[in-house]
Amino acid sequence: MMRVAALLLTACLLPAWGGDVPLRPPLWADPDGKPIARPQKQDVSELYAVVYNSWFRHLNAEHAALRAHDRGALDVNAWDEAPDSSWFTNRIGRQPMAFAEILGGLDARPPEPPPWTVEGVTDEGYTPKLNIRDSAGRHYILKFDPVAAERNSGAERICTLIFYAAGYNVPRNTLAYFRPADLRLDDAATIKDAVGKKRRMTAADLDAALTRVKPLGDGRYRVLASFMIDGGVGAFKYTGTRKDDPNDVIPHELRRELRGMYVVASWVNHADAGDKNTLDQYVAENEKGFLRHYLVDFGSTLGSGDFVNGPYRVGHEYVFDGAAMGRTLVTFGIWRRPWETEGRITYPEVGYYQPELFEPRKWKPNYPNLAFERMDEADAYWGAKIVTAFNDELIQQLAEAGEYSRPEVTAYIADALKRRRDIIGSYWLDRITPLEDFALQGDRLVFRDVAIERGYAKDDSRSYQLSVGHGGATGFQGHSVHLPAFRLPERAAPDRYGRVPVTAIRIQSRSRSGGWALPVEVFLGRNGDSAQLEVLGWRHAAR
Amino acid sequence: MRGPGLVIIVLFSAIGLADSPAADPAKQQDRIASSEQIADAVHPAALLPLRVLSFPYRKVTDGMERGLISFERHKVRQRARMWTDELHNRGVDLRFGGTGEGTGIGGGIQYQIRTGEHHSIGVLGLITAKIYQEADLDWTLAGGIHRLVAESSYQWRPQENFYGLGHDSLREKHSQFALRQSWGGLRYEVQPVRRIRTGILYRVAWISALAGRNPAYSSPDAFFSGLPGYGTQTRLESAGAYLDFDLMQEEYQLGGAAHFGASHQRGLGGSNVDYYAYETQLEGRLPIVPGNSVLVGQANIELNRLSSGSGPIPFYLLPHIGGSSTLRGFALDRFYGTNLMLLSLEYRYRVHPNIQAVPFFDEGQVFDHGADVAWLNWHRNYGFGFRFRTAAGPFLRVDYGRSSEGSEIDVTFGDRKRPPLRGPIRYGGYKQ
Repeated sequence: MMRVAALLLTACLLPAWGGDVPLRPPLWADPDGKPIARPQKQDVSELYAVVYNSWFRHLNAEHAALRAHDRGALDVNAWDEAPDSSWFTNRIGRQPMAFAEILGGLDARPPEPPPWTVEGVTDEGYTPKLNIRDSAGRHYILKFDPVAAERNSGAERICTLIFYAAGYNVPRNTLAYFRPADLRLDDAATIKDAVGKKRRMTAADLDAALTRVKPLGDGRYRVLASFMIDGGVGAFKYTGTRKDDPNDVIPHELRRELRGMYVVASWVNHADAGDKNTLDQYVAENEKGFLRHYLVDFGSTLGSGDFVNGPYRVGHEYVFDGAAMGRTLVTFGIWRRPWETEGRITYPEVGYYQPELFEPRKWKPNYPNLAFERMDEADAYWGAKIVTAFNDELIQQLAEAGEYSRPEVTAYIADALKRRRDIIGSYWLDRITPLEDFALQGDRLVFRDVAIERGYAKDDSRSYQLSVGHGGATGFQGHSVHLPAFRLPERAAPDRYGRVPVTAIRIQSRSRSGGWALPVEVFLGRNGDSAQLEVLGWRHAAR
Repeated sequence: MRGPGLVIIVLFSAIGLADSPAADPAKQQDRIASSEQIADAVHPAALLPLRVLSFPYRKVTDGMERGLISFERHKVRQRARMWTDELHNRGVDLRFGGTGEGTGIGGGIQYQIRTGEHHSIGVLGLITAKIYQEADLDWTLAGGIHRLVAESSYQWRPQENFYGLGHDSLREKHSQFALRQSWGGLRYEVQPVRRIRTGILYRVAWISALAGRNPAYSSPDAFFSGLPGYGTQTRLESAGAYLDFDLMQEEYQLGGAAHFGASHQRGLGGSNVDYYAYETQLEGRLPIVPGNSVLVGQANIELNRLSSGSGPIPFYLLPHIGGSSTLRGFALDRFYGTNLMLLSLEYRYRVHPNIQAVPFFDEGQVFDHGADVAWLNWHRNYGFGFRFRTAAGPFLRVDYGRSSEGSEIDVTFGDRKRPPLRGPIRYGGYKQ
């Protein structure tokens, strides 16, 4: 009778643990690549994104209510992971990757050796961009460093590789070098001026464009060569869905890979992560195709650009930050933003990228991003797993991929990346119980502890507590625990996947502060006609 | 035992662990999220009333988004910049905004012609929604530390406030008059070092005060008979000298400035007026939080002394206080008097690189004789304001001031430059 009573208690308390649970088989591929008609180009407005997200969104009570109603990311499988999709591919977050694998996977081939044919110049933004064709007929956009040599190109190269390894679709960006004599002007080359007006391009235009950028000491120009993505149909937004894409059914602010991207972006200070830096590519196979969603333009990462209101704001404050402005207002300016006094740029090649003032939960992009704002602890934990999967050796190789002239710059970037990664790991993997890969071995539940594996917790002093429902918690150590006593219900019906959930077990790890981290819930049940009890799935930081 | 089993099924169904009977497994198993989950996340039934209420909001923001997308697609901002740069290169600058002192919002054009290596000609035309009009023409010859400026200006100000003379004028006697001011003159200036400037000038002015053009207000003659200068044109010549010290540094750094001037005004033709005007303006800045805030103190004294045998000074040339640049808690030009003393204390601090907050305290009085300067005659106000600025400079001031006469909110676009020497003119020229 005691067991029955315990089971009853468990069942009664389940609703208090949370709402919808993606208790389906661990789906690892979301088939959102079904053929669709080619959508119209979708434009986005950065000005609108800034204005709306900074001021207008907060005026609508519906947003606050929807946020309160948020039950977590929708595109997560039974193992609390985002499946592969047109948005994301599980890479380093699921299994270790070597630098060569990342390079090979991205397939970012630099242009063939010069001469290159210039097909046009786009004279928008800080510096001109050259559109060129190499001897193999491949098309590239060449982006220059606007302020300091190597700064933006190095940052973009490194972060392209990082975001690729993390699992996102990114352009195939590489570094390239050329001399003015390597360029040939195409007969049909055009120049697009600041207002988008095109005209035939002349040699004088090319010279004028090159005089606006500073060459390296040896007379060569260093550029970020971005292999052009064909089939672009505009940008995607970090909120809502794209109406002309039937595959796009999950609101973007409810996508795990966009919510959890906050952590990856905070790592590399990608404050410019907004609608304008996205791209939807129509991947046509035969007549019909589907949309693949890209993150583009990492030229402002590692504190290398977008210095609206000064370089030291980036990552600490929105361009219009109501909280910081309010705090300054009520303290009559006596409160000073820490970054105003302590922010520093050590090397001009790097920009403002330092670990000292970095706080994982307080990092901010340039303006509020709804997907980032909707991030919950489970999303953050997911992002932190990806960030902490980059080991020291890999980070060193990534920093070297920036091809900086001075070795101390490479060392600085590698060190800053490692230290910010560790700040992220120490914070998020301590806040949420970082257990994975649950399995039943006889009457024992076994698991992996990601914090121990990655050096953010010590194995010998690690302790956990386990509870069923809101019943008493049992403490234990080691990476396995005896199952608590309960009994299978006799009349439970299977769900649409033929799975019969039976109970949920909650485990919490001891955090460094002495309290308990947010729990992971492990769901046990039967699968199909099997009478065998097994792990059906788990969920982190359950509310 | 049947009881607990049923309870579990019911509870699992309630939290979405079990299927709803209507769901079609074949259609839903292939995607990571079911349509019910998505529908519940996007349009929860419980939020239907809020969704209905927010319909107008969505329409407004959707329209705003479409408008801004179009704005960016057509590169309106870049085009505007390109055109204004092109105009600027040709010496033409467009002016938008207000000109302060209640003249309303308007716009105009400034044309700078470089006629030689050292000399140039400037032309300015402005008009506002309140039919304030201004036209300026100047010719400047500059070489080394010397500057010779021939300048002239015409202003038509149809809605000037007047409440009577003296510190005890009544608010109920709010009248308006129209002012037509034309003047021309020659100014020679020397700037021996960067922070010191001195000069002499000679001006001739024609000024008329006429009935106000706003039917909502009476003209001054309805309340005040025999008002000196009202209804006639006054012609004056003026000669004066000034000395300026500018020790200002960055916005939030220690600094100061001082201006001293003296001039002699004499009536021409039938205008029987002869008086001396003395003016002193002092400003000091003391940083409180380095780089973030500064305490600013300002003092302004204007004294007028009639020569023997002179008629009274026309009322519109008397010092006057009240409004966004003097006493911010009082109506514009609330007090007129022969002499003026004004003190102001502001604490300016930065809440954003483009926004400054300013709590302030002002006090001032007008008086005819030194003996009239008394504690009880001071008019005081306090308030709070914001300054919005771009890289090009301040473009909007909003001040809320509170005084014994109530509250005032001043919204000022642009910035009016102080004339080198006020002398016989009521207002200086416009500056963006």
